[in-house]
Amino acid sequence: MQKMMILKESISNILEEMFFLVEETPTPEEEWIFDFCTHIEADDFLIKILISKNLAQEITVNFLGLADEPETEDITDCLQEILNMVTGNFVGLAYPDHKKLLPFPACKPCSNKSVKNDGFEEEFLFYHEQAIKILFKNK
Amino acid sequence: MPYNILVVDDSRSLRRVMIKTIRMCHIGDVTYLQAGNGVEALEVLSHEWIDMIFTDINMPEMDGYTLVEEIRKNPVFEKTPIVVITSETRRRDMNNILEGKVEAILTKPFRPEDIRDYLIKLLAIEEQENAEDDDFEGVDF
Repeated sequence: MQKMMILKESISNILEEMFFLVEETPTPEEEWIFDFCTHIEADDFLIKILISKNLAQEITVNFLGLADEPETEDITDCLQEILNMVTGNFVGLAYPDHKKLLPFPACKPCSNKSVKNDGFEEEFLFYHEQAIKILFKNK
Repeated sequence: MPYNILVVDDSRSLRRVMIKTIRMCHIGDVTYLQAGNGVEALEVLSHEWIDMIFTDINMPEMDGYTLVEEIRKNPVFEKTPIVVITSETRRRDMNNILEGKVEAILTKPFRPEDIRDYLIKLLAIEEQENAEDDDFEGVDF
């Protein structure tokens, strides 16, 4: 559980510092819709981050300074970069003896049912009344 | 004075943000060259003069460590300023490997002011040509 808290904090910090999103208080639980999943599998852990299309678009527009709606490729690239930064920060804190370079994150459009979460710890962050779902598994 | 600046990162988004950040520094006439990994960067360096390089470390095909080694082997680029920008936070390991080979290591998220400061210092640009701090107010990358 402690590693999940470090991960959650890393995501919150990166989203605030680089993507101008300030975490909000949790909103009542509901059936959140997720449209993109970015994930990484390292030797010691797996991380998946699920996010709605609206929030993913907003993050991408903020990051790239776009005037128009971003292309799907821009969104997936941006979400991968978020997870890359998050993982770098997270590993520095949670696995200080980790020596190897980290693997590369992947990102793809998804639906709620298409993402397997067996055995994962689950947490949420909230932005603009939308949820980001964090899945973490220690190997 | 015109400058050629090479940005090396496997993330297209990060390359775009880096170029946007350098543009905001108003250092004059800059040609931006991009590469998605070390192999592509060496290809660019084989036919272009480069004044300064910003590179990531963790990239496919050829990582930033190998790229820096290869660049420093080439007498043409042995003095070219290199700034590493990485999400890897294990600074001690990185410092040991890169010591004496690069001018700076920045950890993501970085501040645009840091990029500007290194541009000014490493390209020996006159201070008055540059952007004011206000240009970056509230901006972190």
